[in-house]
Amino acid sequence: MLETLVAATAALFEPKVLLSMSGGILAGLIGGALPGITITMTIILVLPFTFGMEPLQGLATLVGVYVGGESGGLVSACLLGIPGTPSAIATTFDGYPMARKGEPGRAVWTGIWSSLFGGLLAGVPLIVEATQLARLALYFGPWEFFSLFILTLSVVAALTEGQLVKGLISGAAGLLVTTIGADPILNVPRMTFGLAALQKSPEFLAVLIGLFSFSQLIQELERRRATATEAAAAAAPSNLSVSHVAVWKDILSQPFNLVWSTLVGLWIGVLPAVGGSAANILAYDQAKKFSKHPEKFGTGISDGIIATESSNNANVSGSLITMMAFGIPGDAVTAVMLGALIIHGIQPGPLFVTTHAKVAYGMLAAYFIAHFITVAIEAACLRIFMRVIRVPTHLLTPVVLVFCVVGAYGLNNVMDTVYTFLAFGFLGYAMVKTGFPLAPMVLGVVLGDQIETNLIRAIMSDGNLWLFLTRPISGVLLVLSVASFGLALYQQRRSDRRAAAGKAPETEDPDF
Amino acid sequence: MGRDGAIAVGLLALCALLWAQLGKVPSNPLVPISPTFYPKLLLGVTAFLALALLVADLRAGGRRATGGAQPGWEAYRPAGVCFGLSVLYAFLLPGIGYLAATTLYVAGLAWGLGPPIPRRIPGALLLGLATSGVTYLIFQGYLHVFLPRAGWLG
Repeated sequence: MLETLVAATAALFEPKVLLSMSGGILAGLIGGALPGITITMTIILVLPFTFGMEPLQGLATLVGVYVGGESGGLVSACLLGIPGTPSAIATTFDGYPMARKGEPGRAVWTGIWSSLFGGLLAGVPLIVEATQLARLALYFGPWEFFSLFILTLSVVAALTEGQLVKGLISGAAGLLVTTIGADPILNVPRMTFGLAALQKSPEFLAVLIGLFSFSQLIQELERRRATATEAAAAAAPSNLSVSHVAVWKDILSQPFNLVWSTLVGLWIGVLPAVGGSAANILAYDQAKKFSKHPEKFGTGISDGIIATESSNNANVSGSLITMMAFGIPGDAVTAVMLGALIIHGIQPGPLFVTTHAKVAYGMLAAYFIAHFITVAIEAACLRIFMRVIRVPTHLLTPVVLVFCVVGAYGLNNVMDTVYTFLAFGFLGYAMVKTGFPLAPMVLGVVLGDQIETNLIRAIMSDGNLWLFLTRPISGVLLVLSVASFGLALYQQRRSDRRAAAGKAPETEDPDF
Repeated sequence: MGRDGAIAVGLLALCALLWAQLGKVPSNPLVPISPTFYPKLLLGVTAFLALALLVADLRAGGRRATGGAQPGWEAYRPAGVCFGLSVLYAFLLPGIGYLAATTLYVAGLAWGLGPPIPRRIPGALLLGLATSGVTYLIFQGYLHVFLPRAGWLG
């Protein structure tokens, strides 16, 4: 293991790999800092650049985008009071007040260093757990995989409080999308309506890009936040000098806050489809609850920034663990990364770490290296980010959409994938507008083929359906699925009661 | 019936249509499980959920879905512009090629999504030209990601 890790790390220091990874980090930082352009959008933008790269180079670049993006969101959160990404929402609570009190440099750099510490701390379990869990998953048969994927879908459904039925319909629709075209066992075409374009299943990444891009971009345009962002950017402080020793002392004087927030982020990241937005808010809430001076939270103290920024970078590690060990996306970004693996001819899943050890360990090493490069780029380019943030959304949107079209077209060099992208772009926007959560659908599209394959394999190898329950791991996973579904039902009833009482439901949307 | 009810009815109709499509899939006597088994299972679950949504909507009298002030058509202008021009772009790409189609698309979107005043047209065109030129050089020239060529170029 150590030898492979060292070899993969050495490969990352090849100039072309280091350069493309740094480019990815820079893109992530800028995308993360731009309100309205999420990390998911940024990774979709960078994806076509990786088509022609070696697998390790391409995936290291995407890991760079992910790490950079999580850190980039804090810049606009602290200086503009507008979170660049959903995972920096809680950073605004104390970062912005601190900047307004005349300490913008301290606010930003507390966030940057906390991101580094949180990310590095969470990197240790990434190396240990991703490899160990992948080994455990090698003992899984089709029954266990089927049950694991069902558990994943039920967990996501449980998170769509107040929209249980819509969440389940969304998940079922995602699964149905994967049944269009050739079936994965016998290659028999299904539900094609006689159209040649439907003989193959819709291209997974084109579906994903469509679902995310239009819904996110158009919603941002509809909110008309651009004007507020430009005005805030123009008024943002430009002097970001600070004593780094003092910031380090401040952060390291709160070891419990740092470690606990990191663990919160890590755990949230491991859960499928729950990303940094939940991690940073939960970590902030936890830090406030455990604090000796909770009344000071929200007034511009460093405790809140440390909690949120360490947790959202730790969340990256958690998401990568789930993705690398089981082939299940921890959030939207890792869903796109799964697609990138497929583009590079790598089948995601538990065999990934063992059969593509160099790429897998390279991703782990890239995660660590990316954190250091991120700090270096931020030190050099913070002022440039502030200028980029001033670009109006109506000028950014067309450019972003062109990248999406190129990304979709570049998958197979046929127009069919562009049409798929457009169709699912419209569907994603319509779903958001009608209150159908996107997360279960995305997960359904990601896992659909694997659920079908494992279900059919299990039944074909033994027709006894009780095996799904009597095999220990599979049984436990199915029981957990039922428990998760029960919890979702309870939440739905509670939400209905609140609605009947005239109170707004507390909805926690998954991070897709 | 509210919006959710209408969606549920649409979903039920779609499930019926897809179920009918599955009837045309040939079965293989050598394989115990038909390729239609899993999609039929999913269609059954989806239809059941659509029914649940319909019942919930009818019980709520369509209140939750349609309650509150509805935004006017102006609120959907960005969506209309984005989708309209994107569909046009997708159809233009194979016909006039990446460079020309992308220039027009980006210029159209940049102008259509911002304040629609004539003096912004040159800026929008410039952005279109820059975007198509730079992306063409990067993807086609450097990364060897082949982009759509104009049909008349062969």
